[in-house]
Amino acid sequence: MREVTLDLKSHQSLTLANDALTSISYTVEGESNLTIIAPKRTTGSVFLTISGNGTLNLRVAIEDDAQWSMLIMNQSEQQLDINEAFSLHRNATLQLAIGELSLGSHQKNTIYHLLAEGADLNVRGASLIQSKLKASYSALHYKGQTSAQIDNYSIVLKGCEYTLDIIGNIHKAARGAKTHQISRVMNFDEKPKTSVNPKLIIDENDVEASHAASVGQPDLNQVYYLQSRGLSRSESLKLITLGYLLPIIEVIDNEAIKERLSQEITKKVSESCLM
Amino acid sequence: MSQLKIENLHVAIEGKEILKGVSLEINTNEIHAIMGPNGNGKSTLLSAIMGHPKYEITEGTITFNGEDLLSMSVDERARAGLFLGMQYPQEVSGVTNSDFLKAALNSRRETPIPLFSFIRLMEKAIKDLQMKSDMAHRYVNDGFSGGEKKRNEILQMMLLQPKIAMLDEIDSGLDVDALKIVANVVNDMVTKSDVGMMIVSHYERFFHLIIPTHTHILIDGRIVMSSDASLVNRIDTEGYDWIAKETGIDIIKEETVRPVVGSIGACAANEPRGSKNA
Repeated sequence: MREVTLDLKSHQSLTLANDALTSISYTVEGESNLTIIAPKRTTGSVFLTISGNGTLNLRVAIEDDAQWSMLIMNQSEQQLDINEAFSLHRNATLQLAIGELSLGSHQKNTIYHLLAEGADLNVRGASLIQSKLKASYSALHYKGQTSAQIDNYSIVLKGCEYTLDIIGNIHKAARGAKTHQISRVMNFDEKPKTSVNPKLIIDENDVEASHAASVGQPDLNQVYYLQSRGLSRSESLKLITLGYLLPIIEVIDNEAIKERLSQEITKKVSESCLM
Repeated sequence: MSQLKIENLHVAIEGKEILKGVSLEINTNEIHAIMGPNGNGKSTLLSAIMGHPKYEITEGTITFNGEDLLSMSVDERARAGLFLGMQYPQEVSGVTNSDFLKAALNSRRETPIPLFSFIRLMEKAIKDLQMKSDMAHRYVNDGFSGGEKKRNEILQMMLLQPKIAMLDEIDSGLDVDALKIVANVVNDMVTKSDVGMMIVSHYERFFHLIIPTHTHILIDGRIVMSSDASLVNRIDTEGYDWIAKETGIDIIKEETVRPVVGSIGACAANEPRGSKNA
């Protein structure tokens, strides 16, 4: 697969090259708009890192019969609001991984538009909340035979705040749509400020919909198991935390990027106070 | 030469006394079979030795090579040379077996194990246990069958080379062929390395493959009888009732509520806490 590397900032519109891995380093400056288009019948991967401060309006369109995987890492250590809209057209598939691992205070509003039959979305989010994150993810199914699986794994450190609203909305006429969510939050604060609000809005029959949410402290049995193999309590907690975060890198089929990200995530977890 | 010495051990869970004065001594090259009806304290004994936080030691001592084991944390006990192959191995999603095992090996070393040496060790263990080659890259016990989880416990034991290894119903979930493979590995370890074993099992067939040097019967939190391997055969043919009659100790009937071994309390993904016959 070809590799394309881009350094972008403020207002940009980009059409992705077919059969390529496109790495984009994007800097938000004030109010910024970034539009990414995956044309019809194309395939490939995108690795997008975001930095800067302000508001980012991100639009991603996966056109008919296009098959893409995308990893978005928010690396802004500052105040950043992100409004995202992903549009999946007929038979479009998107494997999306989202990493929120920075020190910044962020607000996110993400909408997945499943516009036509065969649109297939699979999302894995990993968040290491080190200050404050307020996030909302909505999957809107406009047509039948669309599918969305949205999984979020989050770690909330001591003294930090996390709000997650996650919505699956199957519209009238979207017969045969599937919308599923799994949200798991591990708190390192005994008095956590965490709120997870899953919601399913169903306006059609013959559909599949589910949500599973768990919010809790680190599992004592898991910690005990790892300790029984010689890992200290702090090493055990780090490993369990990495288990929440590292699987997002699997979406990118490039060993060099995977290795770099794995090291970055491991470093961030090592630097954070998990005890 | 290592020695695990348990004296007059009393253990309670949530205020209920489970072990009522257990004394045992396990030395290098010995294989101790711990047998007894369900719910009479076998797993509690092994978990208490390993240091599970739910088990409260109310009386007695455990020393390992003369050192007070009870003052050590779970990981200190492991690094000192104890190993517990668990009845219900935990799943740790997102953590690969190889990362986990590397971390476990490195916890015992001054400098990290060279990657090549680690791969060689891991590949040999996988081959000896006839496991699937992809298991190094799979998440710890996640999506493993019952038999795969048990083999994974044995794989960890092989790599960590403990001085005293405890196996808690490691044979349950294994088919006949897998049982033989695991037994061969255990026998090989006992022959070639300086290890002592404590093995809990219900099935005499496991103790035909791994011949114990000592057999103990645990009923109502006490070791009521100790002998050699011949005791295994008598249990196989006659059960435990004769022991209860001879010793006058009532067998505790197993409770149907099992401890929850799942992940953090998922409302829809996991079984509810304390679910019956989970």
